[in-house]
Amino acid sequence: MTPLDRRLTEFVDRTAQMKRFCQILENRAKPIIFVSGDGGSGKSSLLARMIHECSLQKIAKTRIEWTETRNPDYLAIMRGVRDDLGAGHFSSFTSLVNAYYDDRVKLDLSVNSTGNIKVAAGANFEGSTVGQISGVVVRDCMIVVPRRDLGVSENERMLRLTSTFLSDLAVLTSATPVVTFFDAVEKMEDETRKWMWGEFMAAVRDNRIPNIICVHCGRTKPDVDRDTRLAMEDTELGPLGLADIEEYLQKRNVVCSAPREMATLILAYSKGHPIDVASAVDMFEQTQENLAQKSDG
Amino acid sequence: MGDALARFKQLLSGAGSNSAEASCELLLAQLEPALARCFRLCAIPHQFDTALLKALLPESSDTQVQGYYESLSRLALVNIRGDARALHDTARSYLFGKWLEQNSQEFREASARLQVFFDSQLAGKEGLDQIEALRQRMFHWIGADQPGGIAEFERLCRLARNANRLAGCASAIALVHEYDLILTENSRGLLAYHEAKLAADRNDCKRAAEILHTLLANRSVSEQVHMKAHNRLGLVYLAERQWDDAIAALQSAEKLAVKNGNVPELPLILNDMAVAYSKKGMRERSQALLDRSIKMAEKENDLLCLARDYNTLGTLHRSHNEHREAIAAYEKSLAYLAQANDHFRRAAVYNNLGDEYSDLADWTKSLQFFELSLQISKEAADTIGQARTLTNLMRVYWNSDRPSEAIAAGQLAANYFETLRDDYNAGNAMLRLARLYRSEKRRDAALETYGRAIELYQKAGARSDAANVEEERAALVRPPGLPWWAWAAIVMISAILVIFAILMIVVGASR
Repeated sequence: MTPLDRRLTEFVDRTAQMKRFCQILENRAKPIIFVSGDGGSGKSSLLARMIHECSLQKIAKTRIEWTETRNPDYLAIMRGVRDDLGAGHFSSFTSLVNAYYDDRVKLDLSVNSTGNIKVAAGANFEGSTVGQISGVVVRDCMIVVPRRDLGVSENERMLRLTSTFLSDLAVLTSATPVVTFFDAVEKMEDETRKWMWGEFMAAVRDNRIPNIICVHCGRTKPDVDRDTRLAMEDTELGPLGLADIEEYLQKRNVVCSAPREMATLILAYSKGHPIDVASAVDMFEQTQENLAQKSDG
Repeated sequence: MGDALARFKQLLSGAGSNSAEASCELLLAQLEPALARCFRLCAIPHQFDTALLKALLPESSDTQVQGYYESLSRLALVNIRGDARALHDTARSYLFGKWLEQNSQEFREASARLQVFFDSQLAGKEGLDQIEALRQRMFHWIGADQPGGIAEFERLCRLARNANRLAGCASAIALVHEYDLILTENSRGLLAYHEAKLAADRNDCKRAAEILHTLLANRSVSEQVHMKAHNRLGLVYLAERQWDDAIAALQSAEKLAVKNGNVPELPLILNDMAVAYSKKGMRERSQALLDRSIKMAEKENDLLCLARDYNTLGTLHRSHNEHREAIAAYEKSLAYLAQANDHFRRAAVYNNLGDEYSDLADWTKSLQFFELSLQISKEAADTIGQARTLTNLMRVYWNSDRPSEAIAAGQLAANYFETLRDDYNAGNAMLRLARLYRSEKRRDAALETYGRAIELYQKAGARSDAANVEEERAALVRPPGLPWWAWAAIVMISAILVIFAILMIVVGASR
């Protein structure tokens, strides 16, 4: 059993949150879910459980996580979603990325009169001709520095890449439902947060991308407008109760002569904070092991 | 088992509180010493796998490392991140703080090993993976050798900034802040400088100015950093249109630049100062500074600086209606850009020349330069540049008796601005377009376009502009002047007066 599988089997409580998630998967009442809670309150465990649920239901999913050293910006998020869901669905987006970042690519980047973008005109892709781009998997050059022979502003690049990405994503989700998971969003930089809620989530909220559910996990809820709040399911993770701790002890196969007493002791110490509960059980197991070694020795 | 519970109870009661620190220390006290040491060392990196553990514990065998990795993976305070593991934020933050407090030889050696480890990871990596490895190498470099690590931090910040990745700068800054406890005053100053630059790039001038003032009070940083801080502060004030403050800051930067042997930034500092003086209406001072900047740039053969100086000089002459001098300066700027092989910057100078010829009502030449500017902006896929030039072209087409082209240019400009969500400039283009329709006597089109301009101004939050357009539109709906009944009254009163006058004359004559 892998450490992740083990943690999934030890998952306790959060029944209401999981039930609500399954309801939303079924009826799509709200396209955005925000799971909030302090560090160690079990957000990532709940997210792992939700991802597992999507696997069981065979729903396409993508997961982006922020850490101190890996801090995806808007482009990295779109590239990550594309790579998780299948690059073949995002050929227009990838072509535009290459046009902005790879100076070997010669494309017509003109904006037509309705504001849409002509990406592929004049392009030459292996095994394909212009006009058939949606059926071709375009390879991303994965360059992160924009080409210097263009005078495109960062704002323009962001808006046009986003617009193309969302169009590709909408085509995909109209055929198959998708769930996106964003973990540790409190570590996201300001520019990325602005893009996430002002561009990506605004399109999700306005139903410009059908059949999508976006789950965010973070320590603090974002400051969003009223329309977005109405489209968002808030889930705040509280502390575990005595029964949950007893169940957790059972699931971890903790051998103890007085489980109720132990659960009460842990509750008093941890105040039900999941990471402290789990850590206390680690301590207890270590104490048992140390005593066993002492008696053996 | 009862013994274990009793011992456990004793442990918890001894802990006093359930703070992250207490939880961490309690757990470490229970772990086998070698595993506890490994756990503490794992707080130095942000995440770890077996390869990284080997770098952290060079004296351990592969089997031992694998054993530690598996034991750590079972602990609740260790998160699972795909194939890697990471200490939980609270535990890592506490233990990393402990390492910094001690700042021991062991910490510096472990950091040096991690720096080498991430250096070796760079080969063959690209995109985000490469950026992550570079950031991690920089992070541990600071732990091993602070000045070297901070120099690498500055390099990464510049790279991210040049690639317009502000989030990348912010991430690097956040990583350096983890070392706050042991940063030297000089490192703090350099960090503050990059934070200020980031704030300025994010248009947060207030925060940028605050950070720069604090940095300028820090006497431990070098004069070079102070010079850069004064210069940046000057640019912040220029952006805020606070000309006096900008001049004062740039003068301080100039003094330090001269003191340190005319650093390469000096001609640019003089150019910025010239802009501020020009905006203040102090023409002689502005021109003198530009002359100095030009001389220095000529000496260093800095072609781009020369191009910039002559462009600024052209604009200075233009603001004083010295058309011939303005054109000569812009043409010199173009010549330097050609020498420097800078194709794209020429678009802005062509645009200035187009404007200049528009002022002279030489529509043919104006059109020629605006079209050159438009062509370059198209090649560079610079939509905003195209939109600006198209807005200028409206006036030229109109005055060249090409109204349909003027209208088409206006429509395209407004459309480009709207596509890029520049609502204010889209509103400006719409307003000009509405006026063209009005001049063409296309009342319905004018009314509709005025309406769009109002909407766009409102969307951009420009209430006074929206109100002004509203008035202009109302005047078109109801032509200016008196209502019909007032005119009728005036006619009637005039008729009565005339009749009365005639009567008086007749009566007078009959007497």
